[in-house]
Amino acid sequence: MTVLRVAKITFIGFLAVALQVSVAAQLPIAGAMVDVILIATIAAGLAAGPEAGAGVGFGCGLLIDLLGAGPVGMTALVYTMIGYGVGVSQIGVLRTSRLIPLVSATIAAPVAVFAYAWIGEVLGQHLFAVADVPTVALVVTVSTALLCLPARAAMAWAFAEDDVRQIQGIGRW
Amino acid sequence: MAGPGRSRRRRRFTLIVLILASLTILTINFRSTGPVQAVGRVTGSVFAPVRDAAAWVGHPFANLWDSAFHYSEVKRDNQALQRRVDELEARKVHDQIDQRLYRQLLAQADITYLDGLPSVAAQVTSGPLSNFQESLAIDRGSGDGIKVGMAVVTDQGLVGRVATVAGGRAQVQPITDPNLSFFVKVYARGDKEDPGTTGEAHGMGTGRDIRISDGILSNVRVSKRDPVYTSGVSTSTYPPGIPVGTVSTVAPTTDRTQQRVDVNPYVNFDRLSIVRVVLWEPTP
Repeated sequence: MTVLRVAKITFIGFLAVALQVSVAAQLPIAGAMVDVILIATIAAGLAAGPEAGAGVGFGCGLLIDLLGAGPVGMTALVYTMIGYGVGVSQIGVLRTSRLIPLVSATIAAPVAVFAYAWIGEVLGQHLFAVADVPTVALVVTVSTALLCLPARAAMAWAFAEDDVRQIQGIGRW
Repeated sequence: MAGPGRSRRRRRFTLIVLILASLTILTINFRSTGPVQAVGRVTGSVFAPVRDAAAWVGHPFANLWDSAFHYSEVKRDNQALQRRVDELEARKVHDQIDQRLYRQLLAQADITYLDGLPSVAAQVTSGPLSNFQESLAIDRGSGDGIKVGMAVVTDQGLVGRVATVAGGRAQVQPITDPNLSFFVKVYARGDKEDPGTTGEAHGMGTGRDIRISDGILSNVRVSKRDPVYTSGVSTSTYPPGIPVGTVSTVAPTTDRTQQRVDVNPYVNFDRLSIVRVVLWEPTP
């Protein structure tokens, strides 16, 4: 992995967290907010496969956990699995239809919301009482469906190999 | 070139490593040991300028967004404000008559029920960061003497407790959070001799009442609108006598040995801007 690639992935990850804490957190819709971290995780899985999805889900999830007051590691745990699952769902997909990633994202988003709430309950966090889970799932699903394609383009750019180095024949490290 | 089998094994290995890492962090966090909290403090401090700048830039847009989705509330608020302006215009005449009285009133603007306990004012800088959080961020931290567990209040009553603290900021867990439980005392309304009945309360989510589900026995008389205060029992992290709310409903528990009491909090959590952190810790 080249330095530039690592820098681009880090930049996109920090941008996603910054957008979550600054924009999404301030603009709730019907009491629920757009989940930029989930969109980034799903987009990474769609653009670059299971390892990328799991990595972005873990990294960004951990960062947002550390910034909040909830249990640290829970978002990282759930989003690692979601990113991986979305990535696996794209393996063997030969057609380049835009509908396929859209369908994957639309399925993954509510699964992530309910999985998060359920794992929270298992860990004694009473998350079904904290939020109106069906409303959250609806808002997150619609916003993820709308934003997953541009987010996937951003992730494809971040995870793309360093073109200049490849052209010049400079090795990777 | 790696074969499909090897690639699959590597993917699974990555997944297992990341899941184990998450579970390890979760375990360390639940045991409340130092490293996770220390990393959290550093992360909070690193992201603080981003949050502050975004809050400053985004404030007008957030207001606009709020207006668009809560038009009827904004209209109602406007009418209430207009009435308030009219009242203040009328009062202005009286205020000009006695400036000394005005100064006395200003001196009493401090929260009276704190009864001289030290406290520090803080501004609420942001609400929850994600859908399953209830926390609020304030712009004061350990540098101002704030510690985890301290009570956060307004002139109306109890807001919550300090959940995490960094150098110049802290996260507050509101009393509406179902994961926060605390001891309260229910007093009979109008009875100054009533010693009160102690129970354990917990939140039921944003916009909902809080519930006392343990401690109020079935033979205790509890009525609607009875006032509820923090109890100050030895295990409580809050000082006694902080107003919490009034009783909204009373119902027997399923085994009928106790009563389930719902309490309507005094504090309006939708309109929080300035709070006070009570610099009080229970004596060990």
